[in-house]
Formats: sequence, C-alpha cells, structure tokens
Amino acid sequence: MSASRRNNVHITGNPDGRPMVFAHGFGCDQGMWRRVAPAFEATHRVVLFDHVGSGGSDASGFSPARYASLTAYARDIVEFCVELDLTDIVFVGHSVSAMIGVLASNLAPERFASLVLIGPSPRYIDDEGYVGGFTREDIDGLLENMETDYLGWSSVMAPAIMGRPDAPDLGEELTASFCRSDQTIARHFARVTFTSDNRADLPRTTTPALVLQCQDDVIASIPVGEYVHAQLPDSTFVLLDASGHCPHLSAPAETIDAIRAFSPAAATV
Amino acid sequence: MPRSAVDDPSLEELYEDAPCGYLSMTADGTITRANRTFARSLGMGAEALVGLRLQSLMTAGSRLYAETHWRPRLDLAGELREMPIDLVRPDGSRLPVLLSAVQVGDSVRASLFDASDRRRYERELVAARDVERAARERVERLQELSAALSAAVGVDAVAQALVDTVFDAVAPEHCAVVLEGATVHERKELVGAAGPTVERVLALEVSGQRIGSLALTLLGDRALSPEERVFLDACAAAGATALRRADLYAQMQHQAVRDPLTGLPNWTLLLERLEHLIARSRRNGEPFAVVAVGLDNFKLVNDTRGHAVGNEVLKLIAARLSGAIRETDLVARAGGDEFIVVYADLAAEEESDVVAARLQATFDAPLVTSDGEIFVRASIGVVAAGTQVQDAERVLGDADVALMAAKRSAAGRHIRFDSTMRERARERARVEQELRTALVKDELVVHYQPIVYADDGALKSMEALVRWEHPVRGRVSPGVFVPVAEDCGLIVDIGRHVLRTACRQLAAWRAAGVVGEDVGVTVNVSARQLEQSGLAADVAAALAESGLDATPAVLGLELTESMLMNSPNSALDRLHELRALGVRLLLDDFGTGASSLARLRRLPVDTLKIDRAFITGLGRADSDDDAFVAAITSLAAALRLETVAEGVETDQQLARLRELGATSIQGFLFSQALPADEFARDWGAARR
Repeated sequence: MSASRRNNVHITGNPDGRPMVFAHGFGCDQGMWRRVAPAFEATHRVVLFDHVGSGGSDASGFSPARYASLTAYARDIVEFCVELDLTDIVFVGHSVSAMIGVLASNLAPERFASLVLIGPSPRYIDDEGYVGGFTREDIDGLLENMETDYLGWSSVMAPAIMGRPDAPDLGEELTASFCRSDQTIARHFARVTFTSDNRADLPRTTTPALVLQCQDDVIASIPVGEYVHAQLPDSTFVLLDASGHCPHLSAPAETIDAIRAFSPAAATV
Repeated sequence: MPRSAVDDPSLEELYEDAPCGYLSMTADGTITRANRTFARSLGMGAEALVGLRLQSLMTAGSRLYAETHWRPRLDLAGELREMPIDLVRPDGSRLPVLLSAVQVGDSVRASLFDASDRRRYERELVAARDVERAARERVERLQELSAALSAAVGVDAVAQALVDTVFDAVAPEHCAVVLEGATVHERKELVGAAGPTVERVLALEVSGQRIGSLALTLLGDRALSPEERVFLDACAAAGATALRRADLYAQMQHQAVRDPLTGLPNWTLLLERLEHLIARSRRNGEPFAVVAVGLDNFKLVNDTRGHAVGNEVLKLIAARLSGAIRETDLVARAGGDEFIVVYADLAAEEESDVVAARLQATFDAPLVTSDGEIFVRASIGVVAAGTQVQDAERVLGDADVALMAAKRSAAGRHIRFDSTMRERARERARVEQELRTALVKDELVVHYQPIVYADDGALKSMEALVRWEHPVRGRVSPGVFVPVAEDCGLIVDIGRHVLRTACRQLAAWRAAGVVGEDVGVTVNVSARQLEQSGLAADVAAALAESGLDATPAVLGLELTESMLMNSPNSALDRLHELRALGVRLLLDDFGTGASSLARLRRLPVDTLKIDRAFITGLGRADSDDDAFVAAITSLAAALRLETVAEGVETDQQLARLRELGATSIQGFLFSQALPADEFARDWGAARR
C-alpha cells in the first residue's frame, strides 16, 4: 500500500504552486480545513491528508507499537511527501500536528520550507518548571470520556428527536462521516498525544516557523505558545484575536491572513 | 386565573423543570440561560450559571475532549449527539452527563442528561472488556510469534521472522539478529530517527548457552511497557530455540549431502546437481564433462602410513581438486579413494581433455602431510557429455568405466570414455555375473601341470591351474576371466576353491597311490588373496580338511614377484604366517619384476620360478637368455633356493637348463596342464 493511500492524501489547487500540507489535529480529520485550505488553492498545491486511524485513512498497517510515539505519525508524512516528491513544503499543522510537523521537518529538513504551527504544545502534562496545563489524571479523564463515547451508543439514536433549526448546509452523508475515527486508534492517539514530551525536538528545528496562538486556548495556553516560540531557533509568534483552540474553524479569515502574512526569508507563501 | 402548575404546566415550567438540563450558550460556550433542573443538578442557582463558560464547569479531561472533539464537530456539523462529559460541582463532586447540542445561528442549544449510573456500568463494561482484550491479545501475539517462527525454514528465514515480529510488537528503529558476531538479519525504519536513541540487547540463549543476541534500537523517549518487555523476552526465548533448531536442521541437511571427512558433496548431492546440469545443458546446448579421479596407490598409503594420514591425504586432495575448478564446477567424493569432478559449460567436448590434463597436473606436486611428503598418483576417466545425455547415473557410470580403463592402463594419464568402453565394461560385467554362477555350479575345474626334476624327469609336483568349463561358451581362457575376477574380488573365492580342490586331490592321489608321498602341489595366490587377513587360516583349513596338515611341505603357494615387491610390510608378515604353517613358498614369474636383491633376501621363499620369457631364447646365439638364467640359478644356489624353469618346450632348452643348474622343469615338453583324471592316467604311479 502506498503512503498516500494509507494517509488518504487529497491534492487540489495549483499544480505549479508550492505544496502546502495541512495536518489535522487530534479528534478530527482533513475536513476541518475546509474553511482555510480553499483560500490557498489559487497559489498553492494544497495537500490534505488524514492521520492513520482518522477519517479515510487505511489503518491496516496500524499497531500500537508502531505508532507508539508521535515520530511514527511524522514518518508517515515524510513517507508520502517522498512518494509524491513534494519539496519546498509549507506545512500547516494544528494542535498535536503542529508538533508532528516539527518532528517531520527534523526527519527531513530538506523538504520543508516553513512550518505554520497552530496552537502547538510540546508537552501537555505539567513538569517541574514547566506548565503544560494538565495532569496525568486529567488525561485519564479524557481517555475515559473517549472510551465511553466509543462504546458506540451515542450518536446513532439521536437524529430523529434532535431539532436542527438553522442547520448548516451539510449533507447527511457528510455529517455522518465527519470526524469519524477508528476508536481504538483514536484512544491510542490521544494517549500518545497527551503523554508525549517533544520539548527537546524544538531547538533542533532549522525550518522557519510561525506560531499561531489563540486567546483563551484551554488546550495550549499563551505561555506554552511563547515557550514554543522561544525554543525554536527561527520562529515568528503571532497572537490572534480568535479565542479557543480551533481558529481555523472559529476565525478562518484571521487565520488565513496570518498564514499569508508569514513570509520567511526569500519564501513567497 | 392562575393555572394549576401540576395539571396544566406553563411552557416556562416545562422548560425549567424538564427531566433534563437545558442550556443556551454562545458559540464559545458562554452560558446565556440554564434551566432549573440543570442548576439543581449542579447544586447552583440558575442565575449564577449565566456568564460562565460550560468548559469551566468541566473536568480538565472533559475540557480536552470538548475542545478537540465536540467543539470542532459542532462548529462544522452543526450538531452534537450524546457526547459523554464530566462536570464538576462547586463542592468538587462530579456529574457525568451526556451532552447533545445544536447550533442555531450564533447560539448553541444543549440538553444534558444525568449519566451517573450509566457511566458506572460503562466503566465496568470497559474494564471487563480491557481485561479480556489484554489477555486475548497476549495469547494471540504469542501464537503469532510461534506460528511465524515455525513457518520459517532455515536460519535466515527464522531470523527474519523474529525481526519482523519484534518490529510489529515494539516498532524499534532498528532490529538485528546477531549470531556468532555476524548479523544474520536486520531491519530498520525507512525514515531514520532524528533524535537520540537507546540500545537494548537481549541474549539469545538455549539451555543456558548463549548463541547470539537480539539487538534493538529504540527512540530515546520510547518507554517499553511491562507487557512489551515480557513479549520481547518471549521473542528472545522462542527465537533462540527456533534459530538453534534451524541451525541443527541445516547442519543435518548439510551432513546428509556432504562427505563428513572432506566436506565435499557426496553422491546424493552429486546426483542432484548433475541432474540439474543435464537439464540445463539440454536447454542451452552447452556440453559438460564428468571426470572420475581414482587414486592409484591410496591403499598403500593407508597401509604404510596409517588411516589418519590416509584421511589427511584425502582432505588435501579434496582441497587441491576444489582449488582447480571454477565456482560453477563441482567436486564430489564418490566414496573410498574416488572423486568426481563436474565441469559445467564447456566450450566444446574436446575441452574435457584440457580440464582432465589440468586435474592430472594437480597430482604432480607431493602432498605435505604430518607424516612427511607423499606422492599420490591418480588415474582419470573422462566423459565429455553433450546434449544427448539422459541421466546422471549413466554419465557417472561411464566416467567410472573410463576410470577403470585408465587404472588398467599405465597410471598417470587420463582416458576419455567412448561407447566401445561401455560395451567392454558390459562384457566384463557379464563375465563377472557368470563367474559367480560358475563358482556355485562348479564350472571352475582344476587342471594340473606336472613339474619334474631336471635331472631325471621324475614327477616332483604339479601346479594347480583353474579352468572354466562354460556350459555354452566352452572352455573360457583364464586370460579372460582372471582379470575380471581380480577386479571384482571373486579371485579370493576362486583362489580358496582351487586351494581346497588341489589339497583334496593330492590327498586322494596319495591315498590311492597315484603319486608318492614326496610329490607336492602348488597353488597360485593372487594379490587380492594376499591382502586378506584370512589367507593363512584358509590355507590351514585346506590342509586340515584334506589331512595334508601332517605334511604341509607338500603344498606350495605361488606368489608373483611384482606382487611381493610392491606390497607393504603387512604382506611380508603374511608370508611369515604362511611359512609358519610349514607350506612352501614359490616366487612366480621371477625375473620379470625389478626385484631388489636386498628385499629378495628377506622374503621367506624356497623356490624361484624362472619366467618363460627367459626360456624361449635359451641356447640361441642371438639371445642373452643364457646369461640371465645362469645368473638366476647361481643366485638361487647361493641363497639355497630351488628353481623351476617355466614354459620349457624343447629338448634344447632342457639340455641348457640342466647345464645351467635349474633344479626343476615345467612345460609342454613334458606335459600341458591336464584334467585330474588324465593326469592320474598319464602321470600316476602306474606309468612310472
């Protein structure tokens, strides 16, 4: 199986443009970029994909051991970039994928032109002298929520009695498929995501990076964003007006502008 | 008039006291309105909730879940269905709820059901499922490990299965199976690690003995779980056993097709390879050659230097032959002192002569053994095989026929097989077969040729000579069947038969008064018989059986000069054993072999039989036979040995022999060899 098939890679936009790879965060799939990615289709070759276990990925090659660290997810990205011969890549990663992008550019720095890191956090669990924002017990709580959610009796029975006035224009099919994920893998991904510590990988990154930080982000707080900015050898820090953890959903225009404005040396983004 | 709250509740009351919580929120989760049921379940006033963000009422875990899952989902899909989240009351207690929500314009409307009981059941269910799943996965992984290892054939394949299993189980950066310091199989990640790594080495041990190691490289931050460590230990243990087993099996297989002494392919492997070669030759039309190499004097080496040196010689020759071929060729040990060399892809059949000559040349230099230098000679039989060859056995048979022909000719040259050789070989095989029947059916009869005193012509003794009365072919010449009997070893049985017959005959004639008590009989002993350790016992038995053991000196055994001169000391020992029985020993064909006088002195013989070659020219001016015979008779006189002149045919020869001092005469002048009854008639006591 090819890496692009495994990661359900979809390419749109300008075939002659510089590749822009969008990486979704934990809990979602490539659909979450639908308010941002189209804005770059005129100028860029837009590359969307799903992490293994999410969306339309092929999880047949998944094993907990193989994906025991975020490096495995970074490898997957490098593999399909090599396979598709993508170079000079602008990488846009949200949440955990911001760190996965850092790892990928460390694995194959020659392929990456710049990194856009939305709500990055190199470590979620507090450490001595470091505030990630969560404790080990918090993570266990998340896993428990996920576990019970994934027992499977939640979403199926609800639609008939659920009023949806003013529903967005989404087909039923899309709604059903939205952010679906393999439950076992998603839980595993959650554990790996929220228990990993990739602080040491930041100073090794030579690729220029843009840190997009939201106001009031309960997952990645401003001090965490500033830490990432401080540790990266070549980075720009932008504090958005948007609040929450998903500015590409809640404030797509501001997010698009910030990405466009980021113009590392000699690179036309 | 106010409506009864119980019988006809207002919409307001239905909202406030509904059996579930209702919330209105802004897009970022800020609560704009909450019903009483929800406020009550949290132990708060509804007014106190307004302005708070729902996320702030959640546990941190649920907040993570909400931010990563339901917020994006709500945002994109516009609705949420029964998402499990945990809320925290002001007193710190938890309230598990199921949250459903729809987005209406900029606001979000949500319903929340208490899920306390349900969550407890779920937790139990999940815990039970996890226990079951962990146990099942453990068993499955061990089964997969075992299946993968046992499906693999050969050390390399087992190592690969082990490495692959470890890769699936713990996903190392690099994994290798190292045996005796050499990497048998390794695998590494396609995209190399950027960060620091750590090494882990697991010993591969079988019965406490270390046979190698399983080396892993892991990412520096990759912590192995207890289950993974246990599984790795199981991999190492099962892997070590499987590797050892595969190694033993490979050794066994190797041994099954290798000659243990030289390590060369044995007959089985030779046949297999040759069949392949024949099939290939048939396809590509390239001829090949099969060369049989037989050592001429290996038995002598074994006898004189001992078996250890003999084995050394075989190993050295194996190495030499292996060194003289290309990688595509093959040297096999065909057993005993015979090797087979197969040359693949010859340019032409004639090239077989070149390669055979090259092989011959490998015997030019002496072999350096622990017992000093040894020259070994070899006879070489060659088959140049073209595309017409059908099977391996046939080609090898032809090579053997050519080798036998080479052995019968002078040593030190090779002979190329031709089809007439096969015909001759078949003839020999037929003779051999018939000879076996002849022995059983008593077709081998003994004739007797008289040996008389030179001075008065009186009967001194007779030589027993074997004759074959073939029922169909009539009398078969000894020149035809004796060499065959020598080759196939039947000569030993024939020799024993003649010995016993001659002894019995003499005893019978003595008893019947046909011959006098002083008349003896002589019997030929072949080289093969002399090699047998049982010869003296056979002779003793023949004497005892016939009753001649009281006068053993009447039995004479004829041995050829060349046989004794070429034989090792063991032959000399055997002569002394025979001598000790009291029988006489005659040196046959004397003068034809290059006897060393020194050795002659040490031989315990009583009689020299002067070869007929020296008799023919006796008394003729143009011949120096007189001088030779004179030399022999005077030598015999000096050593106090008797002499018998063989092949005497004329009175002139007899007269000369008398003058030269020969003591006895044998030849047509007196009589040819006769059947027993004729001998008794012509030479019996009645005649004298």
